Amino acid sequence: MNLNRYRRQIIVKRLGEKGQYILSEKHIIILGCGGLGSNSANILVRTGIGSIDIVDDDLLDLTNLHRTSLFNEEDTSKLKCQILEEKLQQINSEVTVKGIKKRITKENIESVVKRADIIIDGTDNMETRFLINEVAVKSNIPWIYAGVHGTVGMVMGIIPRQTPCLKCISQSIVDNIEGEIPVLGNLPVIIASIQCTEAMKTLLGKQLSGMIIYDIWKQRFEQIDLKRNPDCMCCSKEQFEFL
Amino acid sequence: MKIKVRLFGRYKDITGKKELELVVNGDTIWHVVDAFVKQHPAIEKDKKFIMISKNNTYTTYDEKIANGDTVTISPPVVSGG
Repeated sequence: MNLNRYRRQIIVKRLGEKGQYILSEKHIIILGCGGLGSNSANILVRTGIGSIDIVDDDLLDLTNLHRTSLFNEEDTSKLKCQILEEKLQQINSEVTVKGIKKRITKENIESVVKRADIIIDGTDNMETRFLINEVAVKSNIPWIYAGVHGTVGMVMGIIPRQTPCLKCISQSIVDNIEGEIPVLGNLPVIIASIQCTEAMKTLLGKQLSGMIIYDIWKQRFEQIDLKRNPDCMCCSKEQFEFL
Repeated sequence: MKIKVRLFGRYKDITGKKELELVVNGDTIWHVVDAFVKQHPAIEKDKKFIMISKNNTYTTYDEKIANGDTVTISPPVVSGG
């Protein structure tokens, strides 16, 4: 590893040279590469994570461009995970980046995440997030939930059996009654940045910040630091309804 | 009974408060949520999905409550990506 490349972040005391080495040995799986996943991939590759798998089966659409950073108009109709693999590998050749064309299902998710030190949520629906939550708890892999809606983003790092899981905080899948989910274009990069910070803290063994709610329009940042639900069907009773 | 309620996100905007006290006719978290929604019908669609805690621990709607408990009410998790 070329430490000089990371000089400006190594002098951040909370990371340091030791932290940089730890990150360089980690393997991250990013599930979904829309507004959140693609921005998180960009941040984590530049940060110097050891290796990153980006899993998605969608083609880039013009409507993705307002909330993403790496995609161009000429990339439309190409596979998002492949575009990211090519571009991110040019940004940091020390990181192994692999685009994997795959739709996450209950049949394949365990094999997809089995080597991960952490899972980054870049998905766009709650069903898949509950599936990630269950496989994370079952396989004891930390994951970082993130979601955006309008001007509000939420992030929560989840360390199985240590911090509240998604099922602890949300017993039912939220109905999407609006159809297409509104998202202000500059929100996902900020939420992805918060998400990646929680991921780095997790990988470095630091304490997480609970549920974070950020409203970019009101510039309101809130943290809710709560304990696990002792009766949680997922992380306490290990009853998995999505897997 | 009277329950202290801490609010987050847009629920602060709707009520104009960070905290309030609710008079609840019942002894579960569900009764707290129901009382809150009745005062603010605009959030009726959130009712089943609100993030709730009792005394700093996440919990379910059927959790019993008692005088002096503090309940946290937060908007549902968001799902866009």
